[in-house]
Amino acid sequence: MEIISLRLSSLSFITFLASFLIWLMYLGLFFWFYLGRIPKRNLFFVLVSSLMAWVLSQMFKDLLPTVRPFLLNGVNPLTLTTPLDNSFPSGHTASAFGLATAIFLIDKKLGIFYFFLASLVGIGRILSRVHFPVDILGGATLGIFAALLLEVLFLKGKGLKRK
Amino acid sequence: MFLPLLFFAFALVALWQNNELKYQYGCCKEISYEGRLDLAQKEGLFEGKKVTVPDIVFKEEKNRVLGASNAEKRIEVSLSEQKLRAWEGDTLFLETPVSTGLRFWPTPKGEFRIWIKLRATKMEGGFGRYYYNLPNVPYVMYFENDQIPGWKGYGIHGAYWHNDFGTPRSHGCVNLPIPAAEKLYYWANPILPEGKTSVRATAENPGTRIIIY
Repeated sequence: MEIISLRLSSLSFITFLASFLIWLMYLGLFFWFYLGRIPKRNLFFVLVSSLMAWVLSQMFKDLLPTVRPFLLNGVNPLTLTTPLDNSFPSGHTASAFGLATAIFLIDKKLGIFYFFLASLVGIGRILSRVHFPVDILGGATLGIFAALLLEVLFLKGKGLKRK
Repeated sequence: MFLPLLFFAFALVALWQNNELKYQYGCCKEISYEGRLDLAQKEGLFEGKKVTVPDIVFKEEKNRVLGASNAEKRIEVSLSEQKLRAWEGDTLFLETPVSTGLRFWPTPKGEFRIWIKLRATKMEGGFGRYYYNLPNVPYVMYFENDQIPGWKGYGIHGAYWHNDFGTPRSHGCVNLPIPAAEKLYYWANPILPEGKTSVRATAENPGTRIIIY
């Protein structure tokens, strides 16, 4: 049973990093796809990498009951919604890094920019008190792993256009 | 591939960290210490399932068993046996199966004293699929010691939302079958004044010693 309460009153830069930035990253992906920088046949790979990273993170969340930091210190989180599932690993960071890694495999420059954004998402999740630093590290590892695994298993390194 | 290894290393660190921090998050956070039954609340939520508060919870006490002697009272809880024994000196007053904390929400070991007794209270806590919201938890005896302060919310209380006494089931508290909890509640110190629904331990009316091992 997921209890999520919406909080619109305490929006801040940290909230932007923790809750909104990841959606802007997806929007950006479609923007670059529209401009032709991400080839059509690779869009699916990028989205599936990110989705798989997220699914894996949710799986491990269920396996490892770890308490979120805001529950320990009793201060409200600064995120838009209040997550009350387990802490490790960070699902936001996993999908952001899955996205970044997949883009990096297609376009190095854009990939590095996305890694920077993904790190900001992770930092935002820590500053907003919903994750410990180790959750971010775990999420990032999971995201990178998911994208690399998909590339090796299903595309065998051939299906991607590199610059 | 070193990435899965790295991930599992991080997972271990996260679990270790959680282990270090686990006693910071007790059984439940108390909102009011009034101890009154809320007759309007007859439904609770426990791990995604709705539970109805049984009538036995609302039953008015009939037989208060006070101490039979002046011998020192103590409560022993064995985590390995999942049993609670209440002693008056060398005489066994009560023995009952209990449910203590699950692996990730362990019941703390050590020596404690009851610092407040409540006839009933609302307990809310947990997160995700472990979320629970249980009104009218009956016969609550919160305990504390120097290491684990009372506001963390560890206690002994009756439980109506499960019947698995004898196996760990709780988020840190010691769960008792309701009849046993009732007996223990009226027996344990601090003595409840007539007509009250809650009592705090004082120097003149100290709480019973609890040993958890």
